[in-house]
Amino acid sequence: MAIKWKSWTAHRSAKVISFLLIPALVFAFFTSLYLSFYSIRNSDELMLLFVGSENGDYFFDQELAPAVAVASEIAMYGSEERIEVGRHLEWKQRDDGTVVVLDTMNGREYEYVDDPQLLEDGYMERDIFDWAMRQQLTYFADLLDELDGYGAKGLQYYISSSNARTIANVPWETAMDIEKMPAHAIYNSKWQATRNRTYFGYDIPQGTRIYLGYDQEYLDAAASEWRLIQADLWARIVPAFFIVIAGIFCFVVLMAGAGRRWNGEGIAFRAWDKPWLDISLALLIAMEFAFVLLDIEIYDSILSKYGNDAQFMVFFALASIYHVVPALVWSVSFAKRIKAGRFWRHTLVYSLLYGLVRLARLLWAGAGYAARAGAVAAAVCICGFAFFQYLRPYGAVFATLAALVGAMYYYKRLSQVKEGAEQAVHGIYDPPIPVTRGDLGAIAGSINNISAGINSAVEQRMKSERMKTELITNVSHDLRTPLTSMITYADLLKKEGLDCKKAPEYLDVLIQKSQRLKSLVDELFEAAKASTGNVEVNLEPLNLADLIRQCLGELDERVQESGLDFRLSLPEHANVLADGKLFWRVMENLLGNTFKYAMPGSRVYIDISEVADITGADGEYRLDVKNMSNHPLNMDPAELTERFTRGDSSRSGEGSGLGLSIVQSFVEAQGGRFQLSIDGDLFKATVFLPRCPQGIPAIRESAADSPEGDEALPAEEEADTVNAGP
Amino acid sequence: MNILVCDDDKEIAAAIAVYLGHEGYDILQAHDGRQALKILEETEVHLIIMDVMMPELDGLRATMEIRKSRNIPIIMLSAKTEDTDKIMGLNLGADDYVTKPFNPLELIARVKSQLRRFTTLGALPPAEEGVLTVGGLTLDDNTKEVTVDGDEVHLTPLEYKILALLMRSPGRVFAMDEIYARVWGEDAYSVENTVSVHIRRIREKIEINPKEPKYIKVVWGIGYKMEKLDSPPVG
Repeated sequence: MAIKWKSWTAHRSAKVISFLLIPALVFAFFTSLYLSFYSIRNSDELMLLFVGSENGDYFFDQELAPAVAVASEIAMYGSEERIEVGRHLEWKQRDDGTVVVLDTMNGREYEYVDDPQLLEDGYMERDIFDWAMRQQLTYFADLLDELDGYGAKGLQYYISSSNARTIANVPWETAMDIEKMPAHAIYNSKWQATRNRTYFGYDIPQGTRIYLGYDQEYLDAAASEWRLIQADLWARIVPAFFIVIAGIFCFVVLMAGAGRRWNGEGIAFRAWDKPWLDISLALLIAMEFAFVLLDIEIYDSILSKYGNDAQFMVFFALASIYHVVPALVWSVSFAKRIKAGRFWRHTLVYSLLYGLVRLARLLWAGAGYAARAGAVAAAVCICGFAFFQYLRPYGAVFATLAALVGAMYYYKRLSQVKEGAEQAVHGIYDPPIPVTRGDLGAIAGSINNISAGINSAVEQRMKSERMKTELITNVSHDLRTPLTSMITYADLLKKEGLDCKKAPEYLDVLIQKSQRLKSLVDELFEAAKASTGNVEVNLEPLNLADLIRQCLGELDERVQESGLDFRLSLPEHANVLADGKLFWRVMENLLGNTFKYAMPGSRVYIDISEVADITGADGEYRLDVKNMSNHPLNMDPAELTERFTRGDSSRSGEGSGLGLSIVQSFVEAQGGRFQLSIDGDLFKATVFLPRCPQGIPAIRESAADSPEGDEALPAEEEADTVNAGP
Repeated sequence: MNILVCDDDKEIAAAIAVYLGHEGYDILQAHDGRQALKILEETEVHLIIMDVMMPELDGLRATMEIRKSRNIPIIMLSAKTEDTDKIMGLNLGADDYVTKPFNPLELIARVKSQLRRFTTLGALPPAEEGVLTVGGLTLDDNTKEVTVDGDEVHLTPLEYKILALLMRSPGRVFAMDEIYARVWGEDAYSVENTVSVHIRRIREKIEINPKEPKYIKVVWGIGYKMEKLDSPPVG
């Protein structure tokens, strides 16, 4: 249905027909109204159109009121005799001294005029009075004529006065019956009328009686005449009503079809659609205004004077065309713009504002932040001044509040972005910073993007870390289980014995190699964990020197076995921040390295020294482990920390090649640095650990305060000395 | 004495059975947690060696299940070597935790230790004046006798003094300087690793595996402490 409607209104002929029909219908409308109402000359009569004759108040009033007015005036003048004796005229001296004749009935003043025409006609100064009197007589005669006219239509009147002649069209006997007439007005010292109407404003002289009345016969005739006129009028107005309906329908069709193509999509614009809508509207209004002036001129100068029906028709036809066609053209154009969407875009006002906004944006984008701040401040100042100028004192308050709210909003956004950025720094990416327009919005968007990127990278990383850890744990478990059986059964065989002669020798190899496999597996997983960062690190303040002593104590057995000469140069305190357990593993590996690869009987130096930090931070402690290698170390130090790297000639030994790699990982996990240097056969491992400024207060204090602290035991045995010095 | 060995690796279970059989124990074998629970219902068992990763019902769950009704010693034996695994096992009710591959001798020692504590020590008279007890470790200051799980241990006077000092305040960390000052009675100056070496020797005498000490723990870079352990169960 909708499609059909749309499509047929789009048809060219529908558009053309409706376009042409509208002026025609306007013409028809005005013509029919003209023909209906031309005979009605005053608005009161027009009102009667809507008054039913049986509801006769207004009708009676309408018939009687003019007669009452005329009769009252006649009563006030009295008679020609009273006028002729100057009863209603008097001499009057004005403030400037001129003497004039005043008409007391209507307040008009007659003065001597130096008019040659009047003088020529024979009026002298003395005759002003006479002139005025004649005027009154003429007017009185007119009044009598008018009353007579009403009488001719059926009015019965009787006006009598104590000092003037009786004016009546009925004898007194008949006038007595006027009281009984259906429409009457009687003055006998006061007004008395049908339906209690009261007539004011007439200063009727004493002793005057006025009887006015219409009989039923007259009223019936008048009423039926009116009914005829009414019926006739309605019969003309109903077509006019349908003409209006048809006009509206044509307009709707035209609007619906405007811009639509019979066989195509979109809105078709024509040359006359080009001008801006607001400009063309202004033009249209100006044109219509000019045409209205033209209409008035035509009516005044031609129609009102010589107008006949034919001339009126021609006028209506022309006016219908020049009033309606431009308005229709504009309406069609407007309808097209609305259909094309956002009609205001095709207005001069919009174009100007849009251009201004674009210019402002361009300037804003090109301006530095200082310039922008200046522009904002200037805008605030101008607005504030304008407000203050026109709205004071509320304007100033309002402007301040507006500036405050603006500043608060901006600061809120700023702190939102700031908080979001800080959260992103701490790894909290959810919820993202709300993105709004402007620079802050752009920054927020960038931060959100970075956050999202980091977030997904971190998630990816964590997932792969978890998988790595699981893999390491599982592989470790799966390797250890069969290894357990190997070691256990080899050991059982050794205990229970085998028949073969060389069995014990073979078994030793088996046992030795399976043990080696065990330590390899252990180291492998330690190295894997360390290198994937799966090491739990608990940094605490501790004394590195004490830690070295403890390590040497723990490894005392192997120290003794190795036959190496350990030389220590340790300060009393070397407070560092480290993980004790991890550092024990570091030392175990470093010393293990020494036991394995140092030249037998040589000296091993372990030194701790303080390194001042030029950056002014807390500085570092440096731990050196130096020994002479048993084998030539013809390789790059960096290679030694690679996994599975061992000095070529030591490959046959029991090391896994993972020791130094583990050392490096663990040292780095604790925030330290690990260096290796090779100078000929001198092998030097160096560990740097950050100094701990606070020292190790808690435990030392608690030890000193201990209640058992006093009972020191006397030395009963010489202190054992490890071969830690010469 | 009945010992239940529960391991899904049948060869390992069998090997343990052989070792413990040599020591004169009667061995029952199970290969998953459910079997273990079933055997426990049917037979009187004095100690359980329990693997962790097993089908059906793993060692940790089985241990929790057993602990609901029984107090017998449970030694966990697992290829899971992480500290967290050990802590979890011990927290869930195991009395000891041994990692694979294990040293057979150490396992036997631990089994014996657990059994002694469970059977003999449970009936010990209450501690006298001057007798210090930490776990299965007892130091009688009157007789200068030190026993571990009832076995007497021979210490040198210095070792004895160090042990006594540590045992008087279990859980407290003693700095190396302090130990030296209070045991040797002189200021610690350039004593190098004297204390450490003595501690190590004490451990070799009182610990089953000195590398994984149960009683005297190292606090790296600071000192040593005696672990705070419950006294053996009574009854």
